[in-house]
Amino acid sequence: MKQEPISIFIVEDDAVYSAVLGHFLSLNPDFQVRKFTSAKAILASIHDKPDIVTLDYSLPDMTGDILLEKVKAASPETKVIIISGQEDIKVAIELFKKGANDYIVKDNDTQERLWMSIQNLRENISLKKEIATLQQEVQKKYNFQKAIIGNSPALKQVFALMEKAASANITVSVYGETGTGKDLVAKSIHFNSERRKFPFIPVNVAAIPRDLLESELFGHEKGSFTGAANRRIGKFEEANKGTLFLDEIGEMDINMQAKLLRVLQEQELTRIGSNELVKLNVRIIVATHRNLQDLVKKGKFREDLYYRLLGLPIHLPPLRDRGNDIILIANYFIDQFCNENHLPKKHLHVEAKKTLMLYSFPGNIRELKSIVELACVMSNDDEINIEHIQIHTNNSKSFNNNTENLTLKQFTTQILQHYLDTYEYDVLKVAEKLDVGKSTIYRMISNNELKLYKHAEERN
Amino acid sequence: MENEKPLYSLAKIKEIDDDEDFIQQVISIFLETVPENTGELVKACNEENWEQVYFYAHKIKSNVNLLSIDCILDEIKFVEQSAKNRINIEMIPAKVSLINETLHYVTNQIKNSLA
Repeated sequence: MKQEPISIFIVEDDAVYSAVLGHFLSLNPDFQVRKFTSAKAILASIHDKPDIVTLDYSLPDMTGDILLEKVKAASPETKVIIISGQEDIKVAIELFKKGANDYIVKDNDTQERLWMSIQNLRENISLKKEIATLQQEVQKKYNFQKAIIGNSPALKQVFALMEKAASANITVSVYGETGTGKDLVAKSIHFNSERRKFPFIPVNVAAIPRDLLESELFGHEKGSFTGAANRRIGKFEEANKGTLFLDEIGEMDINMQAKLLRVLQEQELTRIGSNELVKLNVRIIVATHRNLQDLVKKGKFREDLYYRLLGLPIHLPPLRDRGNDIILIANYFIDQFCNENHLPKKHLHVEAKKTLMLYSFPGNIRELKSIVELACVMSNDDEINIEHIQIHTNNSKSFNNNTENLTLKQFTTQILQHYLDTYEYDVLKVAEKLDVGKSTIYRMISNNELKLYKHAEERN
Repeated sequence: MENEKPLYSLAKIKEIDDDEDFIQQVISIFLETVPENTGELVKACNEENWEQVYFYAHKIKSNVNLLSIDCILDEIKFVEQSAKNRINIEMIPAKVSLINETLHYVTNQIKNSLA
């Protein structure tokens, strides 16, 4: 870790001693030393917030303990080392109570002790500075406009909702197809909210075995069930004062839903095997790619929990509805990939752009990312051409090929097939979307003009 | 007088850094401030202002220590503590005058060594 320079103010009224200390500390080029001869002088410059102040305990215009209090009040982060002409344990204890970081007696090895003391404090200061920078970076990273790329109208609406969600302490439900960036939205809301200094805890409900989910969320006491060898704090408690992100909430088992509802309503929980109530202060963000309302109708999701979780709903548009965002995002991934892999900068050929714009992206951004990354690898120069764009699902085919030489009939068939593939072969939906009769589609299927399944060789 | 053993030593300063400019700088500040502070010490003692006697003795102590003027280190400490605690008041003036004379002598020694 590179150590940053640190600023040190020496407050010492004795000119000889001040010169000696100042010179000694300046021997380290990382120490930026300024010298002051009175309390008044340093208090006039305390707004520069030095990292470390060394205080002579007996100054002509103020005693060290009072000056210490003033320095700490004006600049709480500043570390203070008291240098005293004589050892006095009582005074030293008082000074420590008031926030002094070290107490050094003027004698033959004052310099060495001061040096050691500053080195110790320095590590502490560097760590704090690093934490502050990291926090800033995280926040920058999750700045809405930077985290989520695009300027389509559909997305602008999402930004507006996210801002509302960040500024209020409301439950947020994020809906969107797989790969649309639901977790990114959740993280961005957290890191732009007042809870950003506290944890963001993501839990993928679908990824945790049913039987373990309860203890994962609520925690358990030692011995509360077979295998519970230690006491464990659950995700809810871990997220205290922060945000708990429950991804794939639609996959939650119905029994578990009842328990979750209770916890959300009471704002408190008991760990498994415990009688102790734990108060909660957690913001909940849930996400699902399913239509929860449908699940409610089918009796697979509790209606009361649905309304409890609805809060502020944010619907993420699928990539195919985001128009030119596809190219913006593709360019972002291309730059990122080339950068990470030390490849020369590449750009999309106009035909390649067309291909991407016409594709339906059932896997959304995740799919786009893998397509352009592969394209970056396949292309040998600074251009990504149409042949570098390899789309693996069959529903791309119709729009991937040159459509100029097709008959109207062929073209109609392609469009219908594309929609069938996209909407999981839901004939009624496709008929509605394309405004054609469902019987037309059924007839074409029975004539083998349309397929109701994917070809084995295309099912890659 | 020139052949007399110096009552001070620059060893502690050289230990910090034996850079010639630095040593010269410390010495010149010492020659400026110590006689001044000693004068204030004598004055405070004559006025029986023990608060000030303590303050100047305390300041002089660290300089005396730095230049290893060991022959009066005990005296300085005695004056500092006595003035602070208001004890042995009657013994302070004699010690102060010894300190004054010695420091006078030492500053001359230093000046001569520079000449």
